[in-house]
Amino acid sequence: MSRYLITFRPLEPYFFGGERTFGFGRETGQKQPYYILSEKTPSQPTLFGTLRYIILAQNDTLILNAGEKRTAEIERANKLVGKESFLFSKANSQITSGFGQSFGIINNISPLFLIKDNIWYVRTPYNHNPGKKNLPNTRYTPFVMKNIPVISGSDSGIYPSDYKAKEGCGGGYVSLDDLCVIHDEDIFFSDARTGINSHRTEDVSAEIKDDDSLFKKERWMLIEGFSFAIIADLSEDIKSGKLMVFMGQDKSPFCCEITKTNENLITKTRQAFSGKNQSDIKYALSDIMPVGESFSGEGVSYYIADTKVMRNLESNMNADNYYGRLKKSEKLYKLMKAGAVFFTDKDFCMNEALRKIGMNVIISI
Amino acid sequence: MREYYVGITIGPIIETLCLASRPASLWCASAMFSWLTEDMCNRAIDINGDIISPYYPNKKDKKDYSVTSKGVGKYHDRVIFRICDENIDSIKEKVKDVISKSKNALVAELISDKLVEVVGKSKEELTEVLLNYLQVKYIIEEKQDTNKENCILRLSPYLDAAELCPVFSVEQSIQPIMTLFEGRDVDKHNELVKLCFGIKDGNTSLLDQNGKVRDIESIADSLSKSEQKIFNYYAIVQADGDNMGRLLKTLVNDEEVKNFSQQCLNYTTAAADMINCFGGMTIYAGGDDLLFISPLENAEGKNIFQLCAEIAEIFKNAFEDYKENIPTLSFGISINYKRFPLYEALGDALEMLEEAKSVKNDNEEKNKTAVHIRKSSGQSAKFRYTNNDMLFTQMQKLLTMQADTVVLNSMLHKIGLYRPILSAALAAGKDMEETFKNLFDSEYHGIVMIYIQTVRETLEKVYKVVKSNDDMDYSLEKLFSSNSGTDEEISINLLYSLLRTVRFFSEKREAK
Repeated sequence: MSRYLITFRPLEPYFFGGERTFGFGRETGQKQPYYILSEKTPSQPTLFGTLRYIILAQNDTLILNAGEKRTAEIERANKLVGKESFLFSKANSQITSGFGQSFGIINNISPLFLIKDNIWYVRTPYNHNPGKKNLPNTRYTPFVMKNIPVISGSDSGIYPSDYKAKEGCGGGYVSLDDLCVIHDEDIFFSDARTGINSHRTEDVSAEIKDDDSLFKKERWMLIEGFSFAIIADLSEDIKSGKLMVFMGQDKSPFCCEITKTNENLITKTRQAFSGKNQSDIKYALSDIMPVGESFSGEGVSYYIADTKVMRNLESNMNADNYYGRLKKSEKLYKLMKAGAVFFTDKDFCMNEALRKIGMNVIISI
Repeated sequence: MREYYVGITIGPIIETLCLASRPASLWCASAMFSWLTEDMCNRAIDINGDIISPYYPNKKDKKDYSVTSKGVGKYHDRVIFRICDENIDSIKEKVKDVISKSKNALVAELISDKLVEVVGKSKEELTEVLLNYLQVKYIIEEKQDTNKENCILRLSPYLDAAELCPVFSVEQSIQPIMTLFEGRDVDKHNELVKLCFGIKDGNTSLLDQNGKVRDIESIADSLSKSEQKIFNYYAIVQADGDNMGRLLKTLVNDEEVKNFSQQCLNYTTAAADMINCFGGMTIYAGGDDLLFISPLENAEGKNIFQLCAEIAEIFKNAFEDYKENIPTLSFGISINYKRFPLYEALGDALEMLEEAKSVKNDNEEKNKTAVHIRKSSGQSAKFRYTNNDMLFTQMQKLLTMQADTVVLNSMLHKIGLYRPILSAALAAGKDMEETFKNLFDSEYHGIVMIYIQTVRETLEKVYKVVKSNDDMDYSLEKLFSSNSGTDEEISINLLYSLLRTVRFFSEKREAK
């Protein structure tokens, strides 16, 4: 087995689409939004897909033309990275059916983290007390948890006694060297562009008329020195070195660097947070898709979480037509964001299929 | 029999507001939760609860709920009531029943036959999704004679903590809230909102005089025949009371808290009426929070800044009985082109409110307004002023001059051009009247000298405040990304922002 540190440094502002994109309006017949905002980070399925691409590219098995019938290459590609892209539906059904997707030589990837000057940064746990706005806590400072002296409808036994709603909780990223907190505005900056879309005018077929074809798109960029990073565990070696990859809606170029490593994100994170909490808590190093139909915090004494929605692009090169090969998933999922904390010593939300793509990674800190 | 306090918090309010892309859907997002609060108050009275907060002395019929009768959500996201019962288990059951019935009642208001048809799922499926979507948490505390703090201060930390624990369904493919807000298609996007809460034609906040749901363009363009560009723009305003916590600490017993809640209701009622008269749409007016969308100027020539100043005055008057702790009101104003998405503008207004409230230390006065103007060209201006202070007064003076007097249209360009000279003159303590006379010495400048000297006077007053007040430095560091840091540069930046704002208010629309 081989382990690699893979970093992605954007060479220009990038755009990772959320639910509100230009396609959002077209699919529902609604007027397309005038202004859309990129997500700040690529999602795990995006990173996983990019790794699949890298492996195929390194092995000359990229099927660039959808109509190509290169059977031998397709077979090789399937063996290297699997037949289809990651599907949430299959990952969820694997728990009951036991049948999961195979991704060839890819065993798993870690959750996304940031790297700068060899220092690793992960999402600040949500039990970080940010302090007052004019006197912030610059290092990870967990809330003081106390027994709740009232009856709580959710049967919580404890609560963060020094939490102030106006100050919030968590936020930004924390260094695994010294637990210093850095805020998003010190990592990302935005780049808003105004453009004219000729396709927005007089689209008679969709019966959407728009005299004003202006639109605004706000991309993000990492401040110099920062890169996105993952750790990839593979069953075979791949080539180390630098290459260009393209990610996001605008196919923005990223300088990708692959280096063999023995480092482990989970171990490093555990070590960094060791002894910092009153007692061990569970921390979501990655986004979490709960197992089952819903999440209600059952079995957990208390938790602090925030949610987001996700819909991924599915690719299947064995499909008969172009739209089958690359399409937006019909299903929309609600996840808990990385950084969520859970006051319990029990394991939960276990899903090996999701761990493969760096999701549902919950560790004790 | 024992006495207990019950605290209930509802949501997810911010998440729902962020789904809204139109004024009607923003209104509906807010109305939903206000309606839910009001219905829970009603049902709490049914179980012999004595409502402490919000102010809700008597039961009402549904048709008299504020959303239906006044077209405005006036109740915030918390309910606190006092109740006597044998034991806590009995109260738990009653509270759970109140919450369950209220949630079901709200869902019934939202799910019309048309919504079912458009979503294409059964009423039962939509009901289940919506019931799971609404987050209602409660806590129960037994009354203690040794309680030193009032019930709001005691229960709020536990309710705040409860809000950090979301409960949700994983699969979100059925999105009735999204469909409710977006409607069926381009032409019928507000139809489903209009079917909620028994909205009547008299609802002048949500509907125009033709009974049509108001959109951004109709709100912004309150004077459709006007040549001014500002009628292509709208303002979204968030206001929040300052130092309310300090005032709350002085309230000892339940009766004092009830009186305070009543003052809050009086204020929000008056503010909503004022906004309505101005041509705005009140999205939410509850507690000390206010959120509204508005044109930048009304038919009488009153501008958005004057409206906010008047609302601040109403707020002060509502709480004037609390002599030693009269709270103030801060505003975040985001002014955007009519096509700029509402959810982004909402976030910007919230950010501006945070800027308005950011202070170096706890003793510093808040009572400020932070403004962000984002033009369709991409240019923007940001500034902050203390309500009704010199900066506000000078801005109104310049705005009036822009409308009534002959002005120097190139003033903005000249300030940019002469920036180094002005900076040096200020630093050297030169007589600015003479400096301006020397810089603006052509024959034409004689005609507009009153205006030029008003600009000079503004710069001098700003500089005086900036030099003597660290607070101004702090605020402007946050608002200006390219602030060099000297008092002179900061003052000129601020003047520049003011002049850009004033010019923006006088620009003419492009001829079609």
